[in-house]
Amino acid sequence: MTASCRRPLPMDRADTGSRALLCRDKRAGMTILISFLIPAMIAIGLLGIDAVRALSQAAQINYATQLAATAAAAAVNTVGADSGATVQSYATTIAQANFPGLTSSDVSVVTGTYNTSTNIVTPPANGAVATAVQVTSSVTVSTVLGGLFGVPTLAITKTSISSIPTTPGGTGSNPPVNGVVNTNVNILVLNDVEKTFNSIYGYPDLGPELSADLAILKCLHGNGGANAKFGIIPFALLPPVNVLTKPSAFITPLTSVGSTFATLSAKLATAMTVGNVSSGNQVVPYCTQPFNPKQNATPSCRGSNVASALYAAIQVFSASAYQGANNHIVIITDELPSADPAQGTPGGANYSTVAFGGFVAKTNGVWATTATAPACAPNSSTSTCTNADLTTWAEGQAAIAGQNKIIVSTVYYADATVATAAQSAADTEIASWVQNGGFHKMATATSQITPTSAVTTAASNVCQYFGSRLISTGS
Amino acid sequence: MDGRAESIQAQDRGIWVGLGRCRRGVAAVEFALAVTPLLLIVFGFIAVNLMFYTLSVMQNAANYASMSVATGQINQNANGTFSNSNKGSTAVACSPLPPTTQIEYYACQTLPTWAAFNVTTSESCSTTPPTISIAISVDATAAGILDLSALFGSTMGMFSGKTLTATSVAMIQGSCP
Repeated sequence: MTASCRRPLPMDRADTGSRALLCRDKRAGMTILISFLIPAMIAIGLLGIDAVRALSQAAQINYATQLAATAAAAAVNTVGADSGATVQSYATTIAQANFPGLTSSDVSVVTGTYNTSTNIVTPPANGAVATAVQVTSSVTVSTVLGGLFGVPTLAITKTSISSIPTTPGGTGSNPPVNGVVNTNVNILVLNDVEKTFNSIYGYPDLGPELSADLAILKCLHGNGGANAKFGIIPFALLPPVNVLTKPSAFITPLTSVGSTFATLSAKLATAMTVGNVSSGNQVVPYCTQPFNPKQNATPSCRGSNVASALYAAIQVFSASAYQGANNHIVIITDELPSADPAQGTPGGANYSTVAFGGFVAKTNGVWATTATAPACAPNSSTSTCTNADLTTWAEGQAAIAGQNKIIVSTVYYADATVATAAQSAADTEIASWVQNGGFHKMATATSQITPTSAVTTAASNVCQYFGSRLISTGS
Repeated sequence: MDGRAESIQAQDRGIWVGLGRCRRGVAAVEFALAVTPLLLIVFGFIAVNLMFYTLSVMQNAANYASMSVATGQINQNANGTFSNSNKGSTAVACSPLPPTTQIEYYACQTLPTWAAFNVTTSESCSTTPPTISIAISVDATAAGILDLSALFGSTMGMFSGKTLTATSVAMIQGSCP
């Protein structure tokens, strides 16, 4: 034994050779211990970083998915739920911008209805309107040291759901903050121009109705996006028969708000003022008396057949440009559909007479330009239509609009002269025309003659349909 | 060399030999040698974790601000309302807080106080979809606080001269002409 720093023990005598010496030598023991500990500590630290990194990536994927969901919901409002490729594109673009590791195949989008129980979105039943968008991002991330422990990768899946609002986002006169809106909303306002709404008969209600139109127009201009479109279809007893072939004859066809806002708002503002005096009808060709469709496209000033206007609006929105778009119809009327017996056969309107330019009624409330047999069924004889006939038609056309994924809202502008019970009955019926989550408002009699009436307030509620918001996030 | 000198030399050798043979305090000496890199590693981990924590908070703040834009609650930055002509803001300091009408305010809301953060926005109204990018940045050394490696020189620090940036991108809702 050499170089030993202690006295040899008897047992050492048997130990000779280098291995024995190494075992007996206790010098630098702490160094050896530390040299084993440090790599272990570093490994544990790296594993911790690995875990934190994975959690951090999961959190970021979650955020990316949330932002993608809101973008997809906005896309549905912009281009329509049927344009799946565009919705997918919006979602993927935003998801990738927030988590570059995602590929387009990592992001899946489901547009449909949100089930609050299962917390998932399923494609809507045929004819139903989509109410939510679900975006799921699935990605596999690599670990740094996880491979040593059999976990070379981690699969992360995050799901977020954003609503496509079909119910008002605010209440009463509290529309959402400017900007809580989406783009490319199309609104057709159906204006009742029956005589009680027309100054030519001395009624002062045209101004408020136009002010409601203006409120919707301004709302759309400020919030509906650059490509939002606005139009007005007037209706009375007879339909706006030329609304498709001669739209320029009306106050405005469905045109881009961005390009026509200044002109149109000025026109409506002027009509609001002038329309309340006797010459109002000359400024705005709302209706004519007597009606002569061969000379102009304006409807008669008598009666109220909202089914005809609904039909016209549905036809406008049936164009390919509006398929799957965010289409709204807002009906403003002051009464239940009226056949106006004073116009034709007592007890009803005879649509087969020449007084109506040869236009005859069909059972769906739409008039044919050829002399086919008029049909006022199911409520009366084939040639004399009653109020009930027109009401049935209105219900039918509203349902068709709903099936075409058009949101239908109604504003009942209650006539001050109508008894409360009748007002209530009319309110209930008109409210039943609402489709796909549209709103219904009844303007009170006391407020109906002021431009800042409840009509205006109610009409501005249409703004509340444009926003999208996150309703469920993360899983 | 006389006998006295030899005796002194022998005594010196004895001290060193004795020191070499002495086992007392060996653990303390070895620990002292080992603890230096150990502490550097420990505090390094703390600094790295603080940096990651700060980055995480920054990312959350950026995402929160993005969500405010995505849901249409905010449509302005320091340059005004989002538009094609408003190409974004230059770096806006979080201290003092920007006005509440600006998106920078929401990006600064939940950030820690131990560092100076800046927010930069960049919008693109002409793309499909129109987007806004919100970036929060901070000096990495300030974010890490305990960058002990900087003790070896200002250019030797792990984070020296580096900037942490958290970015979030959202679709702009509403008008973006």
